[in-house]
Amino acid sequence: MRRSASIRLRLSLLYSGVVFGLGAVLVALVYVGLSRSLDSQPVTETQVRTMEGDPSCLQIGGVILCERNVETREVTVVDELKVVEKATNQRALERFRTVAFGGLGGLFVVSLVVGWVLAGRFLAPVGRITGVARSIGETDLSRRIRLEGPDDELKRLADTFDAMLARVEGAFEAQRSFIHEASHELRNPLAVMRTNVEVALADPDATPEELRDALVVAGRSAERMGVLVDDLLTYARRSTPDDQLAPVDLGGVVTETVEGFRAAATARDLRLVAAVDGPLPVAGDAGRLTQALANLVANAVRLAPEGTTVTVACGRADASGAPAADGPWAWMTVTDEGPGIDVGEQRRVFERFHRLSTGADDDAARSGLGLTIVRRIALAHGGSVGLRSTPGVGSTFSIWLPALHGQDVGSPP
Amino acid sequence: MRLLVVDDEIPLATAVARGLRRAGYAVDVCHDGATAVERLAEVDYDLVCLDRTMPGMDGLDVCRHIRRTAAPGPRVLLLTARDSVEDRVDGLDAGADDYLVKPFAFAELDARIRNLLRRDRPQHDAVLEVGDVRADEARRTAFRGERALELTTKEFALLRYFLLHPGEVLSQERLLDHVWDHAADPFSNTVRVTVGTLRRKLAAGGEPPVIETVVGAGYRMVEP
Repeated sequence: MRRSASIRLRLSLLYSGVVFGLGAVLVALVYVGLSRSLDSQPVTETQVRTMEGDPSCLQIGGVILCERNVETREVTVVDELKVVEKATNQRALERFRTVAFGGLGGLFVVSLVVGWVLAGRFLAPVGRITGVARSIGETDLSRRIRLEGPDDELKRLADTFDAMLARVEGAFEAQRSFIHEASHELRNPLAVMRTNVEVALADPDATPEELRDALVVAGRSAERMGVLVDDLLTYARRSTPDDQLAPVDLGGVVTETVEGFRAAATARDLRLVAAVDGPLPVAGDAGRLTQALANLVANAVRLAPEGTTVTVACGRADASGAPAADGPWAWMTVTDEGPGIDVGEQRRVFERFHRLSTGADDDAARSGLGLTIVRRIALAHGGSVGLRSTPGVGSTFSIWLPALHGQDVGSPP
Repeated sequence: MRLLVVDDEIPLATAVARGLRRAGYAVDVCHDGATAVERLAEVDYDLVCLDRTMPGMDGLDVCRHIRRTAAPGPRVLLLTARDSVEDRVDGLDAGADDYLVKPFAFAELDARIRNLLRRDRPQHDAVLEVGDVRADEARRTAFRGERALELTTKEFALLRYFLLHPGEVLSQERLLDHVWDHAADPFSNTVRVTVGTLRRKLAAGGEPPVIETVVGAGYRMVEP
């Protein structure tokens, strides 16, 4: 409250200072004007004596003639009305001064009080905002200011603050649930390791083969935790590529990624085809876009039935998704010929830690983050991801990105 | 005591089963909820060690299935990586008897299983006793009077089952169901042979016999 009180004091001092200054200037102007225009003079003793009927004076009408100095025979002419007028003026000016100074003093005090009260009223919401902001701890982000009143600057400030709190709370919740899920995911391989090691050690009759088996299992679990931790870090790393946005040729990304998986595809007797049709520039982070595509290709190469074809392609499309050479959207797709994904599963494949049960041997060794990372990278580039799949026929995963030099792109198709 | 371990984490299920077999239980393993339900229909398990999160039918579904179909049914111990209060409440509400969070110490799993299995009997510690025959489940030791018995894992498991059901006539089928696991051949005479060696070891010091044969029905443990 000290800061708010000090602003309050400053405001009320400023306010009363301005009011007092203006008052003082007004009074001074009035006084100077009056004193200039009025002929004022105090009544002299001679005039008093004269008017009181000095015997050496002679009164003719309203004018009194007096011999003021006998030797020099100086004659003083006293106009009685003038004297009275001047004296009255003099008094009025004196009176005015007294009243004006008093009034100014009063004005100062009153303006100080009024200023203090007004400043207090205007600053009350600030105190409220401060109070709420101070009371919000890490664990209680649900509080809001909810300032009532007219839609003025302070209300807008409070509303902005509330909106910011909502965003912080959302981010905090997302982080918390992520940590929650991630720790669960790490617990499974840990449990495998621990139980295997404990059971093997507890058996005094364990053969070297049994001990070796336990070690192999523990090693595989450690490897799996390594994959998970790597993916967690990739996922958690700030995926906003703003600071390293550069023109990237998606054609190059596709060709490079396909070459990287050539050996793995050959080993599974798959045809891996890159369908690239000239350069395709987007603004992005080449490393992260390559990683996103690589995650998709890795899934396809791992799961496609042997002897089938995996096609990696890129191109441009208009807002409806139809091919267009100068469309605002650039896309990369990975198409396989099976096994396809059930409709019910399709919506969930991009979710964190969602693993498809594919029947592959290494199901458990995957982190369940691969497609989530793809989506995160696409979103960070202002794009999106898509999936079309027919069970038994095949799947097409796509990454949509705003094409470079595209006009206002709107929402992805 | 016949146990079923259900976990889609194959190396974990294998290790748990191995440890529990060494502790003298007959253990079957399966890796998904649907198979677990099939096994539960075939065999009268004493306890099910159930992973909570499995693809398809998960641990909670299996748990609810058990509570719906069999009364009292086997004891259920949920193994889980989820440990929030809500998760525990869900698990217990689904009918689980106990809840153990991964990763766990195997010794704790073992102790909790022992604890769950002795809830039905009046005597609530790890020592089983009928007459002068005693078995300590935690230490896996057995005595006839003061004489320590050298028992194999299977013989110990058999003795424990007899001690848990004193005076009851136990058929060969029942012993096969509760002391032997899925891998045992129901047509072999393994039950008869093991009962024979156990009986011999129990009477090796010249004591009166405690396991008698009920002709045509099975075996019975009696106080001499």
